[in-house]
Amino acid sequence: MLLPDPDDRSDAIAEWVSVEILPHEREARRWLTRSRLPVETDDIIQEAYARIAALDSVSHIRNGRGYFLATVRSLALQHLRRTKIIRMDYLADLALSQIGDDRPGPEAIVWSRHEIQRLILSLPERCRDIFHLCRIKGYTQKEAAEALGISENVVEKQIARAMEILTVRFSRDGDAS
Amino acid sequence: MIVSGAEDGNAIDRIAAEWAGRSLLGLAPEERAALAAWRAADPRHAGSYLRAVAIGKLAVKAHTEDRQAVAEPVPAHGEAAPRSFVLSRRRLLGAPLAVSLALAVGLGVYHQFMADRISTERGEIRNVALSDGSAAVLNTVSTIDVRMEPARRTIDLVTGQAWFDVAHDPARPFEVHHGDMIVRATGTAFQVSALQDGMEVVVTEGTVVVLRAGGASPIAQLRAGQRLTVEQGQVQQRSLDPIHVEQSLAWQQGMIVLDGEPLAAAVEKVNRYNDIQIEIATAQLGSRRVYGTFRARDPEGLAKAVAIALDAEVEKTDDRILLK
Repeated sequence: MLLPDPDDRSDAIAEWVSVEILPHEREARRWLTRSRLPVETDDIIQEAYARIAALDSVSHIRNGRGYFLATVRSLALQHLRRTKIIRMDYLADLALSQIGDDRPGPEAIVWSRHEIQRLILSLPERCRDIFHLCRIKGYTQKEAAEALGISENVVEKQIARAMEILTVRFSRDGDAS
Repeated sequence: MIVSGAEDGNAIDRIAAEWAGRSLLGLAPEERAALAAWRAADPRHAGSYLRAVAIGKLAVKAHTEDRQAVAEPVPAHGEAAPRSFVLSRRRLLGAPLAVSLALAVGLGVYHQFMADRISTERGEIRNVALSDGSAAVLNTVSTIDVRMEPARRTIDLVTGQAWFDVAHDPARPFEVHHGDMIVRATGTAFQVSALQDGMEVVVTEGTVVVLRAGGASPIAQLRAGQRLTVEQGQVQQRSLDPIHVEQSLAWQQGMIVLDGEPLAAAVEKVNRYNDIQIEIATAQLGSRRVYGTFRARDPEGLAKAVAIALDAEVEKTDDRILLK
């Protein structure tokens, strides 16, 4: 088959997202919270990622942060128009115009690496060890199970648990909005 | 906060995480089909799954870089490490621990960086993510020095005004220093402003303790909604209405709230944001009180409003606006 494997394509996009988008997710979440728009933050963030997932390629996007923040802003406006509330106070009005006006700094990228390290360290010990073997060292499920003398089923469960903790906590500032 | 009727975002992220974990371990063809169907069922599913996979990749990246920072290569840890080898269980069980330790050392190395200086120019309001997970927002013409150390987090407010949203970490107190005053927090949000001869603190979440440098016991403890000023050594503490707390944070939205202060003081505030400076012709006009919410970057707007409200005249040149 000559067509590119859709899995390869989405893998390349996920790779790009991990560098260009994830560091700025927190900024987008905070902006949504601060804007006090009557919209659901999680929905908008997920839909913004869905826009990227639907792309054939991301090579045309020069500035991931700008792209992501602009997408979040336009989705927030769409959601807002769907609600029955017409009046927005001036803060929301203003905050809308302000997203992404700050200079992007290397802080965001450093922060994202730091955040993920912090979350990995926060995993329960066994969960963290299994995650290390499979994710970082590249063991297969079977190899990890044999190495640790546990069933493959346990490996699968613990990996799911690790991923759940990382994805639910990443960028969410303690308690979920 | 409005909760949408159907699935909540957290629940979607949980399912997406489980899928990302399973695809990490390798999916059977029928699982692949099930995943594709789930992703297609709702755009949020596809988005959440992409995010989860990317977070998994970020974990590998952060780890790899950390290894480089530690600069103490451990054999058999190369990225292309051979898969088919036999190791004793003891060594294997030790390995993750060693990795965790290396991670911890790596974080330590990171924290030994010298102070990072962050500044804003005139008219600039800047959001900064600090490496410990805290956030700072700097107002116009402000400077902070950030020092992240293993046992504490120290910020020097050199000039201006900044609001901090502190990541909770009881083991590493978060301190903001200005002059001989120290504001200490563990996990909370507050704002510190440099005054002519002192400092102002407004707490928006949680509590902070205020100390004098070298002093053993705190001089004050502040709760959310409280404000403390130290001016020429005089300490004043009071509770603010929620509206006043909002107002003191309005600059983060680029707004200035004038709450009955003399026009001269209001103009001084606005001038901190703009190259075009407002000047007031007479002391009498400068003493008139002004109310309202204004965009900090729109001196002309303020001048026009003042002209209408106080029956003054506006004279505009290239770099200044004269009110008379």
